[in-house]
Amino acid sequence: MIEKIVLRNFKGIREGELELAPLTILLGGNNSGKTTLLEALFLAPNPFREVPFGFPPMEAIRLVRFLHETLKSLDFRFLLHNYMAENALISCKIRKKICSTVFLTKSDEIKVYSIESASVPITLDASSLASKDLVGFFVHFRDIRPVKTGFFMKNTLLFQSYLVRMGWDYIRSVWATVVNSGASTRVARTVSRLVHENYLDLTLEPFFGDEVAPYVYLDDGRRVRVGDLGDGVRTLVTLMLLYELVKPGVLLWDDVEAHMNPRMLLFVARWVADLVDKGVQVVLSTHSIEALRTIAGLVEDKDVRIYLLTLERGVLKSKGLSLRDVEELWKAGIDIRVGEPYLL
Amino acid sequence: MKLYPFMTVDSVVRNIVRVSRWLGFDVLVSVVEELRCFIVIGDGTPEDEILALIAYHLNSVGKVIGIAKPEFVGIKVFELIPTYLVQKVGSILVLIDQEDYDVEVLIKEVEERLRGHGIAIESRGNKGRLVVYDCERGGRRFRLIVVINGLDEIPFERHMVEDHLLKAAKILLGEQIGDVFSKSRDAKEAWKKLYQYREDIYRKLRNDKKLLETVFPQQVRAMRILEESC
Repeated sequence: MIEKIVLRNFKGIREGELELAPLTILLGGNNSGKTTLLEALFLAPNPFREVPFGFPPMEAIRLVRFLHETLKSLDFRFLLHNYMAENALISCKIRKKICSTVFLTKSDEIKVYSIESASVPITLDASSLASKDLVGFFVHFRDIRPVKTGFFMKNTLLFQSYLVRMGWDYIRSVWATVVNSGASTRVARTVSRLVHENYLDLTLEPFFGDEVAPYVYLDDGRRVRVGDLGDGVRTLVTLMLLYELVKPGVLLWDDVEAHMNPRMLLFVARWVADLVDKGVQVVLSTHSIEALRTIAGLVEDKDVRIYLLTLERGVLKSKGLSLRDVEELWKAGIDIRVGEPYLL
Repeated sequence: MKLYPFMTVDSVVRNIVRVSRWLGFDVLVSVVEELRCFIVIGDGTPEDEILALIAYHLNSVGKVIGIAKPEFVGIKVFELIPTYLVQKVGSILVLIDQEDYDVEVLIKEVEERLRGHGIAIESRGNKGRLVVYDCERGGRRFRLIVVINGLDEIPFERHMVEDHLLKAAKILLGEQIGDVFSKSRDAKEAWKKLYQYREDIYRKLRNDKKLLETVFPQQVRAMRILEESC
C-alpha cells in the first residue's frame, strides 16, 4: 500500500503531502489539487510505462499530457510548477522505503530519475542523482528518449469518464484476452444487474461498413453498441474491463460520481468495498456528498480516510475527516465540500 | 458584510440569492481564504432573507461571515455548539425564535444547555433579547452572541422573527393592514396574510437603513458586534 505521497513542484502543487488509507476519498473545490494528486500517483510507478489507453498503448506520461490538452500541445513542461520550476518530485512511501520520481530540467530537456531511498530526497540536483536509475528524458520538453519499462513500485491505474474512448482502443487490441479470460462475460453479467435488460456478454463485431465496434450481447440475441449505452453504464463497463486486464495494486478514479445515478453509485460502492477487501488500494475524487457517503459507508472506518483539500499559492492544505465527522458537520449546517475556509 | 454559505444545496442560500436578485445587491461570496466567525440560523426562513438585508446595510468594513443552517431548530441548535468547535472559532452568532418562552427563562435554558456541554460561559452583556457571552471549552475560547427573535409590541403569545416583519408592515402600511392581527393566531399566520406586500416591504427595508434598525434592533446590533469581534 502507498502510505503517503509527497509532492514538490509537481503541476499546480508546489508543496504537499498526504497520508493514504486503503480507501482514500478526496474532496475539495475546483482547482484544489485532487486530480493532480491522482495523476502523481498514476505516474509514480514509472511515467514511461505503457498504460491501457490507446492503441498502440500510450506511456503514462503522454496520457497525462493528453488529459490536459485543450488545443494540441506537445510540451511536457506542464508537469513543472508554474511551467518554470527547475525540478519536481513525486515520492511515495511504501512500508519503509520511499520510491521517488524526480524531474530535473537542464537547458532544453527534462531528465527523469527513479530512486529508492529511506527518506524523501531533500536535494534534487543532477550530481546527487547522477548514479541513480535514469528512466528517460525529454528533449526540447517534447519527445521521450530512452525509456525503461516495468514498474518501480506497485502498478496504479487512473480512470475518469473522459478516458472511455481511449480505454476501448486498448481493450480492442487485446480482445482475445478479454474474451478468453472470461472478463467480457463477467463484466457484462455484473453490469446487467443494474439495467432492465439482460446482458450475456460483450462482443466485438462489425457495425455498418467494415469497422468493428464493441457491443453488449443481449439474451434475445440483439446487440447494442457499448457507445449507445448510457454514460454511466459505459463508464462502468470500461473501467471494470480495464481493471480485469490490468489488475492494478492501486485504482485511481477521478470524479467517481460522473454519470452515476444513486443505484449505480451503490453498485460502485460495493465494488470498491470488494476491491479494498481484496487488498487493492483505492483513491477516489468526488464532488458528490452522496457518493462519499455511499462509498465510505461500506468500508470499515479504520480503512477509510476522507480529505478535504485546498490549494493556497501552490501549497496543498488538507483536513482528514471520518465519515462520522462529515455527518456531524452536515447536521450542524456545514457541507464539508464548501467548508474549507473554516475547516482548513 | 458579506456572507459565505456553508451549504449550497439548502433553502437558505436559495432564499438569499432570490432576495438579493430582487433587491439588486449581492451579499454572497463564493471564495474566501479563512473564516472564524459565523451565523447559525435556528429557524430558517425568513431569517435568511433578513440577514441578507442586514448584511447589505453593514457593508462598510467588507468582512466575510459564514452562515450555517443546521438540521436542528430552535433552542436545540445549541446542542451543536461543540461540533463547531472542531476548529478554531472566533465568534458565533445564533438566532432563534422566542416562541412562547419568557425571554429570561429561554436565556437560562440556553445557558444550561451550554454548561451541559462543558462550555464555560461569562456574560458580557444582556440587552433583553440579545446576550453576548465569552465562552471556553477544552482550552478553546470563543464569543457567542445569542439573538432571540421577537418583539413585545406584537400582540401574539408566541414571538418570532415574523414579529419584526409585522412591525415593518405596521409602519409602512398603516391602516392597510386592517384586521390581520385580530384574525390571526400568530405572527407567522399574520405575515402570510400580508404576503402580497412582502416585496414592497423588503424593498423599503433595503432603501432605508434607519427603518431596518428600528424593525430589527437586536439583529442589527448583534451583527455589528459580530462584525467588530471578527
